[in-house]
Amino acid sequence: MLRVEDLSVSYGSVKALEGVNLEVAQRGILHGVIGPNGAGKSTLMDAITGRRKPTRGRVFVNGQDITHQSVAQRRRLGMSRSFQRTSIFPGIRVGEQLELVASQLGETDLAGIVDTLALGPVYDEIADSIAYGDQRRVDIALALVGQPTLMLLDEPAAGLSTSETVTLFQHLATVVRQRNVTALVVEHDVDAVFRFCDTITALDLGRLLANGSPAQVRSDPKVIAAYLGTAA
Amino acid sequence: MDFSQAFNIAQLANALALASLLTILASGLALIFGLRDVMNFGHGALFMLGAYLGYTFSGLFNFWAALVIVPLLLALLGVLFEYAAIRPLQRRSHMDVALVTFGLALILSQVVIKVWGTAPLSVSAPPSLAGSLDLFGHAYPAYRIFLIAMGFGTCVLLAAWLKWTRSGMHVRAVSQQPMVARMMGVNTDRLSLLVVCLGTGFAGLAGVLAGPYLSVDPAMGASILISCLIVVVIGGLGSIGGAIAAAVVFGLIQVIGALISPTLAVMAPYMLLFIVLLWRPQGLGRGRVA
Amino acid sequence: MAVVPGVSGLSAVAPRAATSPRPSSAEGTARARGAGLLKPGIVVVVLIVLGLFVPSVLKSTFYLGLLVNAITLGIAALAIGFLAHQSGLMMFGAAAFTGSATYLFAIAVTQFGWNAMTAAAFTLVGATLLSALIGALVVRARPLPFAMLTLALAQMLRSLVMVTDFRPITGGDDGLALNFSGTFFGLTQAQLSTPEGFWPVAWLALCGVMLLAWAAGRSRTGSVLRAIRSNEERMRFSGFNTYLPRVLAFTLSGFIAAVSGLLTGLYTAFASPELLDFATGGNALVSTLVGGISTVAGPVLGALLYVVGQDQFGATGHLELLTGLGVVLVIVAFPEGIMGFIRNGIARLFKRGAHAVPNAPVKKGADHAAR
Repeated sequence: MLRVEDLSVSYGSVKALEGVNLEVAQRGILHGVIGPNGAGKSTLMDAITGRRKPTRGRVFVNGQDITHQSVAQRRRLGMSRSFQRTSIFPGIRVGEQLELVASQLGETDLAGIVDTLALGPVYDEIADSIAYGDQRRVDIALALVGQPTLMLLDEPAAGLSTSETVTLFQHLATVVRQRNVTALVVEHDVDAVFRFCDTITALDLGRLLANGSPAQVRSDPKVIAAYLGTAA
Repeated sequence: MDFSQAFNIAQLANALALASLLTILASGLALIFGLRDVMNFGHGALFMLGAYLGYTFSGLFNFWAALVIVPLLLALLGVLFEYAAIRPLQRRSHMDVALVTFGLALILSQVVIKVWGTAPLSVSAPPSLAGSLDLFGHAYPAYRIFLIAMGFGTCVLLAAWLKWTRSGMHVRAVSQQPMVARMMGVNTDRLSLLVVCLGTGFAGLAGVLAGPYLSVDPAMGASILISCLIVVVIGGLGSIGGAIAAAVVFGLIQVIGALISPTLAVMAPYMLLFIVLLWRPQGLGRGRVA
Repeated sequence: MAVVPGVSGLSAVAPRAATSPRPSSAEGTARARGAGLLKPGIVVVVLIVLGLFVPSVLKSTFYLGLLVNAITLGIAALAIGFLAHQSGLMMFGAAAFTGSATYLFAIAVTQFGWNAMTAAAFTLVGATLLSALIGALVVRARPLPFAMLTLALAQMLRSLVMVTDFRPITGGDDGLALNFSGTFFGLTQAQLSTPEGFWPVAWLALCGVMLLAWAAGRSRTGSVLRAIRSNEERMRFSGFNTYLPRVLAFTLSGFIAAVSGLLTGLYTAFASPELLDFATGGNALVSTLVGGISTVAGPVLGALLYVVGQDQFGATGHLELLTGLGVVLVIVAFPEGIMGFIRNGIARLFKRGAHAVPNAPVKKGADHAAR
């Protein structure tokens, strides 16, 4: 589904990502990406979605090399993302912005998305006047529109409490299985990731530490070292 | 046309004279932008006001008196500008502030026309500078040499202030990292007042200096504003050194362009501005006063 | 509430959630829209026709002249307001687009010897093409550089017009007086130079341009544009091309400005460098700000207020002073313009709930442009 080959991103002399290899072969699973601060998780996300140009390496979706495609092109192909820093449309009503994107991407079941993410109550509100948690869900909803086959969610639970995070992940797990979407989730809350994700990638300092099932990653010595080095 | 003959030291000096005026103006604009993130569309009008006031004071007293009085008057106007416009609008978007400065430019232009009329005025150079000097075998107007010297001197003083005085250091700090500087106790407001007054004062200085050199008419504000914007943008916003370099380049382009074709001389700076502004479509980054 | 209830618990949250939200079929919406437009449509047509008879009611040539000026200014203001509202870009140097159209018309008549209709067509087509070209280059600029570029464009044109080599074509300092042959939709130059004679042209042009701007704003492209203005990056991440719509908006705005310039040419039969001054663009800009950019009628009403205000203030000498003061006052006191101020006031009176007014600005000053 998604394959990342030797992906490297440098900002000047700073190597944010160095030779990362990653593969998520199945549909309908949640794949977590974890790592301490500065591990390069967001950079990985940016590189895969086209927000940043990699200095080296390639990105394949369904076998197709998409490394040189624009952000809009990737979206139309079915790769969507949500943002760590909420990126929605201020000044425009929630319903209006969802409908606009829905019409662009040929979404037939917007009502379903709105239901699943409980956005009904705020449907007619102006997006920046609603609560933070609601805004985060709008951010995710915008990524869900148009039947994406690959979703990249950058810290979807940022700013939410532990219980809210659990609930969000439960939703994500349901959505992913219902719609047969592959979801890559960058997340700080390691417990939630180990609990809900089917497979996990661990990064540290721009490099790949481990790839595999939660059990495998959890017991990987390199991962343990990286996390014990920082407060776990 | 024999290019080498036409472009000689005199032409180079012409270019430098124009560059000197622009340097003084552009430094002021760059300082204000670098510190307050305010693009002062009224800078050209301030320059014009300086030129007209220079005319009046030269007539009342003499040129040298004007050279001292006018920048001070304009610096006082800067106080008004800071308190009445910049400070109250701090929280508003850049566009709103820019619109206000544009409005102020329009107001100033009208004030000038009301008081002095629309006919161009002529300001003569002071007697001590009225003659010409011998430059490498060519007679060259002494006033222009004076202009170049003033421009150069202002740059040196400004650079020295930025580098070696405490307030200058604060200015650089605030323009690069406003939050950090504030947290370290730099009084941005007071600094802003200083910088704005310096900027408007410089505009006044450039205006007085321009009197004997350029034509003093109500259109001079608009034309110098664009030249100034071009210089500041090309030189890199907030970068004084860059503004100086850009001013020299601008002066050279004008002079050389005029030799080749007047149309080119008119269009070249704009072409440069368009290219630079479009090369970085993400826009003007925050100025760094350097 | 930030907590996301489980799927089963939704019905307990709020009544609105139980009835699935609007996303109705596109067809149904369009039909509903169409039906809703019929009555207002008839009203509009009636108003347009009635407007043609204003000269028979308003006998004073002087006041008619004022209205004609208001219309020309209003169309220019509309060009500015349309672009500002749809894309957040503020044309400081609108004079470049209105003035160049007047000059195009003047040159077509004096240099090429074309008759009124041909010259007018040339002006509109030429100006629109130029706008498209310029738009392709400048539309990606952030608002502040964009403003600078438009000012630079105006100043550049002003300087070009004065270049000695071009004097034969542009008339230089003296300007270009026109004598066009033929008729413009049946009106001779002599007729067009009077407010009574010019009125139908001006009025119909205004109505046409307002309808055009209104339709464009309500179209899907309009929604796309406003979304781009709101968050350009997310639009790209939602599969939209964010470049072409903005070029389109700019071109349309340039066209509207060209209409204003053309009207000036037809009415005054004179093209002068003053048309390219900052102050000329400033007049239109103030009208836009006074009237508010979020409506189609706003800039036009702002222009009317402006022209009337100018008359009240007596001698033209105070005009630019009024302009400058107008800009400052409106920015500081009325971020949404007077129209917006009134609208919000009315909205607050009628809407008792916490619902915000559509198009209400996010923060103070946001209505004037995106950051």
